[in-house]
Amino acid sequence: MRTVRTALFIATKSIVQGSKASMLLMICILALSFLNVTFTAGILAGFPQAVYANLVDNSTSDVVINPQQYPTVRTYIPDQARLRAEIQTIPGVEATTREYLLASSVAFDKYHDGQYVTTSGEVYGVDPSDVNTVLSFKKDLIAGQFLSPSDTDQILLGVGVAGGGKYPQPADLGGVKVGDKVRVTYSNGDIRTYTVKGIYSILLGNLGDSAIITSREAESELGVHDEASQILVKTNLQYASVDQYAAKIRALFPNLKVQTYKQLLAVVAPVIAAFNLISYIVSAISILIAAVIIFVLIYINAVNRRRQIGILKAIGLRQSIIVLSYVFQSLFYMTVGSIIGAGLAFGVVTPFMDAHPIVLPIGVLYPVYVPVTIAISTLMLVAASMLAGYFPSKLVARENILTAIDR
Amino acid sequence: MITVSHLSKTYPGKVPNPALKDISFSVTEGEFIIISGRSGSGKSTLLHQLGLLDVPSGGSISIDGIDVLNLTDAERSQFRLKRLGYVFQEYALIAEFTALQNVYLPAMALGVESAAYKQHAKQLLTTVGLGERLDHYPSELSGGEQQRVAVARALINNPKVLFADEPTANLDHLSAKVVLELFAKLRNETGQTILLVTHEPDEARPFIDRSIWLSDGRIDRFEER
Repeated sequence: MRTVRTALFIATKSIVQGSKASMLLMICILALSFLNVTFTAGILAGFPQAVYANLVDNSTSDVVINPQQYPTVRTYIPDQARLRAEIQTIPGVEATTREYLLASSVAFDKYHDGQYVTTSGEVYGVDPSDVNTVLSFKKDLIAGQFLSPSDTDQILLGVGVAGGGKYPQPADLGGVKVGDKVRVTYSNGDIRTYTVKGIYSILLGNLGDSAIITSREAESELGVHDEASQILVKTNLQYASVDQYAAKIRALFPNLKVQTYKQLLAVVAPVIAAFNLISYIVSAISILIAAVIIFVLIYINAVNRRRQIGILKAIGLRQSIIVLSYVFQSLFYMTVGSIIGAGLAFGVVTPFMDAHPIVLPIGVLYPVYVPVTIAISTLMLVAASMLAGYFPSKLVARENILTAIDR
Repeated sequence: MITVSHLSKTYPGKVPNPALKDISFSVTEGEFIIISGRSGSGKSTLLHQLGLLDVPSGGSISIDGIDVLNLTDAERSQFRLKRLGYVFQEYALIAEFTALQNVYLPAMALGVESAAYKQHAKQLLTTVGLGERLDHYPSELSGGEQQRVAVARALINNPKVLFADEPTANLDHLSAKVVLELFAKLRNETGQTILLVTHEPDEARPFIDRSIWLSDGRIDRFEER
């Protein structure tokens, strides 16, 4: 206890009475180190989040309900309107929509010379009245307009089908424009012609390489009514977890196949794991750099105070008290630096990023601050600062008393 | 109180430098002794060995019945803290601490209760005539005042022996006299054992019991007052 008390006293006096310039420099460097650790980890964590968000917003939503698989495999979910009404009674469910999925090929006669370019792709039949409450197609339109429920003779094309976009595909239609007509051949051999009402660009998922028609047109083509290939459910994830929602839906409809976006996007899990690994490595390197910086600064500080250390030893203070006083000093610098760094990260950089987000083809990139990651990084920085305070002061405190005092 | 037997100290180097050669003497409790001699005679080196600030090359030192050369580093620190007081020529005060804090730091490290060591430190500073300058930093004190703070610090843990290495060397005549009178008062009122190194023995002679004269690292002679 007396060791801690004396070390704290020496550390406090050294901080209060020491050079304000070097204290500011040290705190400044450590604040920037903290900012570097949290911001870099945040951006790297934000990348997979952006991918996830893009796929969930454009493709899967939170929960996807597929037709019965057992005991009989069915192609469609029957009585979908009643099912959706029932699902929407679950607290936290925000919206639902349905989709039909039709295998097809799309052909385009660009020069009106009877020479069609054909590409295969899926056609989705959606309800224009509610699909945008679950998915976000509308914002991905790069030309034309979205479908209305009565647009049974019109179609939206993904830029991967239409061609002519920033990322031409080898099998695209070579540059379809709004107002052009395309011919769709369905898997049953039926051929229908549609006017292109809009073109959308979605880089991730299957939708970018597909087309969209109204559900009414899909039902007419398939000869079904009030059914669906899948039902998409948008939920409020602050209310319950996606797994809890899925469990509740399964309880309501045990025969249907209910999957969460996590299960559907398991394919991107290795990518996310790779980003997490990169994030850990970058954080570890940043922490190591911060530790080396604090080591150097504390060492310079200790070397500059060799005489003081010599005097403390001469009057009988044990080395442990002296070393502990430097550990306390480095902890103080690291704590203040971390608080300022956190202030910069959350008070300056985050609002700036919110105002000026990084827009990538895969989505909008924001730093994502995971509390556990920040807590671990902070603890590692604290541990690093303790070690970085310990070793240099131990080195200097081992010096001969008379040599130290004579300096 | 102190027994020194065949003490030697040689500084290593290309040409080893023997600074102390076969020093033996004893000091009884309550004695006020000066160690004197020409510059380079080994006075400060001897005091450094006695004050456990350095490690001799040979011989033995016993203080208060303890063979101090067999102590570990930590034990030597504790011994210095508890039983020895040391006053340096250059005062060796800590610049970031006030006079009061400089004085009570060793008591704090010893584990004395806060109110008690503050009271004792104030009392000691008052005794050395600095009762009005408790909260002054060393840079705000004169050389003589700093030296008196150093004396108060050396006394805070009631040491068995007080070592002073040329404590008046950097002081004017008047300040030097004040410091020496302080040592004499201490010895007379508390029976404090004092070993003082000086190259101007005449100043201290009126106050001391004995002087040890060194020459070329050896004891040249003892002089009784």
